[in-house]
Amino acid sequence: MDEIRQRFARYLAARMEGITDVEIVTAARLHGGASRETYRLRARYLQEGATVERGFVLRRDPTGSLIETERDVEYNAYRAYHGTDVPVPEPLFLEMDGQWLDRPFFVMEEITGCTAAPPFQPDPYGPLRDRIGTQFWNILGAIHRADPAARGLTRCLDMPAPADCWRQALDYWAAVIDADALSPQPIVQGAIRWLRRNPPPAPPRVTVIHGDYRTGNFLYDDTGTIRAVLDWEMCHLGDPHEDIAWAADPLWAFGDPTRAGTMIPTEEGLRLWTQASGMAVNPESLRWWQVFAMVKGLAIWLSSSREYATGSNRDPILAFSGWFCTAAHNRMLAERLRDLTLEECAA
Amino acid sequence: MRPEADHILLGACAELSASIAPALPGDYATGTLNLIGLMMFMVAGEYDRAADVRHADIEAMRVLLRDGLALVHDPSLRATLEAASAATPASLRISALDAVHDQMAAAIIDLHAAVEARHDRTGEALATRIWSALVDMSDRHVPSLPSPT
Repeated sequence: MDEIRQRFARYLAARMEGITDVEIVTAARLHGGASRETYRLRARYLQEGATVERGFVLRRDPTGSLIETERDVEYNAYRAYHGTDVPVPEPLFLEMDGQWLDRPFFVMEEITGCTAAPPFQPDPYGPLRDRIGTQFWNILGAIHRADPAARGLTRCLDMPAPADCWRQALDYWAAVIDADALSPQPIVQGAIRWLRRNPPPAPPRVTVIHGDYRTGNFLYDDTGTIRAVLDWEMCHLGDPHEDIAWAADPLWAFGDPTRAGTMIPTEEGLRLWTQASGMAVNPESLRWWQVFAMVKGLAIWLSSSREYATGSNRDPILAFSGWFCTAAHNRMLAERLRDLTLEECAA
Repeated sequence: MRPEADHILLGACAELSASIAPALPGDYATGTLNLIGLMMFMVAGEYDRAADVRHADIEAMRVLLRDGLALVHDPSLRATLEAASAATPASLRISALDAVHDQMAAAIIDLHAAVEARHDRTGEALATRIWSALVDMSDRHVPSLPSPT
């Protein structure tokens, strides 16, 4: 950690004009963040004759990751939404030059006085559940209401035709599964066949997709106010049902499909999302994207298994994800496909 | 072996959580150690049941593969199903059980796709049986977690 302190201090001194005597007074690596190494750093420096203390969060590319994305995707998403009704930290620096910290990284402001809920607890929010759940769905609606072009995101993200959203997403994650699975996966392969046989309707419009919008990926304070939506590394443009289905996936709700992320009832959440986004939920689309969400989840967990097994990243979170999340999602997906198959046979 | 491996893992897990983790500085070290402890708990459960879970899967898949032979006419796929349904583990080692498990799971994928492509009642019936078996298999593979306190 001393090396990170010294090197980040040198970086700040070079990157921020008009500051001198930079010292990193505290530095801590944050737990989680399996896709990028995350550090909280507090700097002290002289600026215009005054001593300033400021907190930063550093996200550095790891040597191996659950999710292979460019760091500029996440940085640009923060930049697109900073200062809007979607709370995000202020993005400060995007650094591609490996001379500073060996690997590319970006820096954003530290959000203080907040916490993120652990994803696998039955009631992580306690009495704040309803208040947080209401904001959770309103913010998701605000993400989807935004015009991707007006936010500058069509310059850095591919814009699929509405009718192609499902195919692009499925092709991408099916290829990840084919590349990364360490053993044959009859459940997810059966689900992929079902998804290809039953494509969803095209969305009314293509929107920004957060890509990992769920409990655990936002910071809230002790009044129950959501202060920052994080982890935009899978941000892309697509069908908004993708985010809805991911947010409501039972894996984030201790297996309960009726209360997304253990918060408010999903039905109520969908009503709030409809109001905030200005779009309607299409049940047929939602059904398809719910199955897709589990396939995408399994792709991520199978990748984490490979990363851990090959030794490219020994973070225990990868072993846990690769084992527990694969098993849990496989069970949920098998039940869902069995039920869908029975419905089709009865029809 | 006494104490058994699972008892050793559970004892080590308890020691890590109760004595070691609280003494560590910083969120990252504490969180990582707690996660390691959690996985030691999971591995302890797996130690006792790992062979049984694989054996149950293998026998369930063997039945499906044998039944599927009656619906498959493609010679290449028939050869795959015959070989997989006759496969037996070389020993009771987990690696030997996994080798047969993987061979059978790959054959199940091919069989499942083939019966779905028939678009008839017989195919639907076997496809549904395969999904039911996959539900049972997936249920067996979910590791136990400690009860939330």
